[in-house]
Amino acid sequence: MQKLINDPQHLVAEMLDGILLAHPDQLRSLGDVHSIVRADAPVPGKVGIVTGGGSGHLPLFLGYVGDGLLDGVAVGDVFASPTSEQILEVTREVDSGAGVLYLYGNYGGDLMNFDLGGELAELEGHVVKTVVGRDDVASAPKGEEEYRRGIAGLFLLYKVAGAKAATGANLDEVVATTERAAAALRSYGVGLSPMILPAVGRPTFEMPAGQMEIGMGIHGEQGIGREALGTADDVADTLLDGILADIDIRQGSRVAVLVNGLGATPAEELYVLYRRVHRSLAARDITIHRRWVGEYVTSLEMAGASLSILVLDDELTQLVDAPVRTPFFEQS
Amino acid sequence: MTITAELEAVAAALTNNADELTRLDSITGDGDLGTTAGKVAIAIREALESGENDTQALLILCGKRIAGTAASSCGTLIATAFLSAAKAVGDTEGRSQLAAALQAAVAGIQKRGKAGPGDRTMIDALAPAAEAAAAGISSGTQDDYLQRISDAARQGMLATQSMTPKIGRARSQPERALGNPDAGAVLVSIALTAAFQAASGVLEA
Repeated sequence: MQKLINDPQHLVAEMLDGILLAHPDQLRSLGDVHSIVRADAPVPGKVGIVTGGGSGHLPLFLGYVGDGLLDGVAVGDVFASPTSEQILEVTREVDSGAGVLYLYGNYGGDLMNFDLGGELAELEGHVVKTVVGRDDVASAPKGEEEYRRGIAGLFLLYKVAGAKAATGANLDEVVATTERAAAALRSYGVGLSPMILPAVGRPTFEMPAGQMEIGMGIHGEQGIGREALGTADDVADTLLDGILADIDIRQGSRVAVLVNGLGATPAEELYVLYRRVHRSLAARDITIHRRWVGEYVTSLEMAGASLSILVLDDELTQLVDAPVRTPFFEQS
Repeated sequence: MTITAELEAVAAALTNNADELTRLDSITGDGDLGTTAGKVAIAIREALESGENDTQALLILCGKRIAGTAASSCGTLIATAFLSAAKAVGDTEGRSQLAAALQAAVAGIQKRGKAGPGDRTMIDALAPAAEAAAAGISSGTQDDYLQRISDAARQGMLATQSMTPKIGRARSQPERALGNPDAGAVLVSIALTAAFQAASGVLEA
């Protein structure tokens, strides 16, 4: 396996150690490096936003802790949930008294541990609310949205929730706005080659040359099916059509767009995808108010990309434009 | 009334049966249930060492310790069962209290683990026990009452031998599951039997 690692068992801890050493002004750990908060937590009067999940998706989750985004993160092992104890620790540390929002993707282990962590936090007097990202249209059909996975669109939910909390909004307001964004958000991805789990050492699935998996999840989960690998424009059309079939975006709408690379697909290819998406939306009289093109939610060294679209209203427009400063992402 | 003796018995039973739980869990799962059971036992003993003997406070303490030390799905669900039971014991006493605690534990595990009866999980032992506890509140001696709950858990556990797994890793290996009881259901049955033996002193295993 062609990886720059020491011992696979220590990869996550050493990765976290490296990030903490690189960004001591922005991040600090709570004893155990797997529980990390912004250096100045808790921010007085502000709702705390906590996320978490398995490792292997950088910049998600840890890279988005900071001004304008998240307050704390509980990091699990590669593709494994953090523990409820970590979530409790992080909750204590980021709660200024204004309450805490748990915002993470819809995965069984994460749900269980965040719910239990929240229950433990409530026993200590913290007020905790939860919004779960379910943006992946490929993971369950329309009408069964509660079974959908959370993928790259989580970044957009962080953006909205983080900006809303930074305005000084209370917990219920942050929850309401984040839920409104979640309802207006869809993602759709394609996988071209597998990732290799460091502790396993082999590709997690086989992908024959010339094939792609439409709708593959960010842990290599099965999508809608295998097809012959199309051109960039074909793939962009498939992803955009899949999203537009699931959510009604009227002419004249404003949207935010994320074209996300899964780890091994170069920026060059992502911009070729973006080009097609931009022109197709323009032809439908849909304006891209803000776009992000690059690696925001990865899956180790998986090749592939996803498209996320957030339909904006006036408030969401302001929130996606708000400034951010975190170790992996800045916007002024 | 306190439940320290019952909790001590549960911890001992989990420790003594850890190897068997691992063996059963290895048939379809990842074989870590014995490890989880051992961690749960340690967490319960730590909670007892605190000297706390109020039932509700002790159950909360157990739930917190278990959540902190046994992070697997099963450990998380056991912690949930303790915390849910703790919240339910406040308003009642005696048999009503036990029935409420067991029902709350079932509801808590179902909500968090998304499993229902017949899915071949710990619910299949715990739910029949909760039903027996509710049904028998006003009949028979205390020993009979506890025996019926214990029997219901055991019957429920044995019934998982013919159930197909619907939840978790075992779902991908349905044929290997048949003929063996679900390891989580075995854990529940062992724990309840041990607790009620300690409570009555004369229960048949």
